[in-house]
Amino acid sequence: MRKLCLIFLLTMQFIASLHAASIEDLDIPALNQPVIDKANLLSPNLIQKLNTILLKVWQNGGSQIVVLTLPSLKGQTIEQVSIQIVDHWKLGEHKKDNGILLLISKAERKIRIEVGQGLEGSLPDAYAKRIIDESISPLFKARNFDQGVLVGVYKILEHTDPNLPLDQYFSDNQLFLDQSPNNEFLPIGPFFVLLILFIILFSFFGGSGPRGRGRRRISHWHTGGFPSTSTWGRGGGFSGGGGGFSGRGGGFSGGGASGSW
Amino acid sequence: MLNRIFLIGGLVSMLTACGLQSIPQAKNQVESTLAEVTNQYKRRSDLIPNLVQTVKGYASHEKETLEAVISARAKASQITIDPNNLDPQKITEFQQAQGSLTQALGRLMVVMEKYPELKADRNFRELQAQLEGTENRITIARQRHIEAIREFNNLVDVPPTSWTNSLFYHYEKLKQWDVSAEEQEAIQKAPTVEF
Repeated sequence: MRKLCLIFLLTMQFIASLHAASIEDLDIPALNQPVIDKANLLSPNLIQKLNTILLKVWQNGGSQIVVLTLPSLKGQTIEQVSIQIVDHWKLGEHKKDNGILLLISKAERKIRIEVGQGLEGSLPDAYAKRIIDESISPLFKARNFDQGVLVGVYKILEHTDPNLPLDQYFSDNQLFLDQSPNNEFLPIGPFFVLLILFIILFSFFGGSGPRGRGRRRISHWHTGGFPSTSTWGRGGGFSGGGGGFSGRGGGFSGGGASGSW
Repeated sequence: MLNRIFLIGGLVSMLTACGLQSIPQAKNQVESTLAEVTNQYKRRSDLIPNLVQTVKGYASHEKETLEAVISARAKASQITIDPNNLDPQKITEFQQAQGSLTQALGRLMVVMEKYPELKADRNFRELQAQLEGTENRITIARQRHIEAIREFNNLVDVPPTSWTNSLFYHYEKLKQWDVSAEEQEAIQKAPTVEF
């Protein structure tokens, strides 16, 4: 199989380039949140949602799953790039080795799930391959990167953290609102509109109109969602939050699977 | 007189501090990474019977290719290396045997491209995924072992740790791993796929 030949060549190449500095060439991004979209494939909405979910998983004793999209692999194979990144970031807890990297490369159209040593039992290579081939790749082929990543991460979590309330995390919209900075501010706009309405109403009914109703209604206004993504993502909400997001010494031995779209 | 003793004592302690711990640590790392390499090769070996069975179901005519894999695997299983006893001769033999197995597997996979039903078989695809995963693990384990050898050799070769080595441990530099001659040949003559 061509893949095996490729691996021969890689081993040769690696040995020949023992003196080459590969980490410098690679330019590994800083790990500050679970979803890092260097290739600009994903929507801010999806990034926000997934950041919240994955952070919650990690904070509740689950695996440390990171999604990384890169514009290109700069001539290396996705396996080479992946292992360099996880060795550098050390995803997962030391000894538990429960880290996972979902790596997507835009130019080469490659996908890889790199599985930490401690998760090789719950997510064997064959399953990782299946997730890529059957779930992620078809959606990517349809250029639906958001869904592809979301479904892929869900399927991964189904294997690695089945004990966590995944369906709740994925569907709980209130969860995302708790993170939204808007809860800290008064929804000034609608408040004034209602105030003006009441004033108008007052003037009609001569003071004996509906008084208290409106105020309670205000709290529902922002469940409708302030769609502007600029208010959501202080992006760094995660670095401020539960003591930062970084690897904790987890180990990897090359397990996982690769695919393409 | 006392001053001189202190000076010499200080010098010796400085020298020995350089490498007293790190040299045996580096040696341990060499041994543990080698154990990991043999581990992953064994993992590959364990996958093969299942693979051969599955392929037989669809491509029984490919007797030669299958038998080549079976015999290469048998040969490779016979050569074991003891990570605590790094015998360069044994290691070379081991690498050669594993290299032959890699080649035989490669040829099998190429031949399997001709059988779409086999490729569609779920079992085969799972085995293929496992095999690719194992090959990746082998590659990484080898890289880490090569790195460990390099670190160890640096300590043994380069002063001041080399002085500590001469004084206390007398370790020889280790032979660096390279791609076996057979693998090299295989790379130069990559099998072509004919449909």
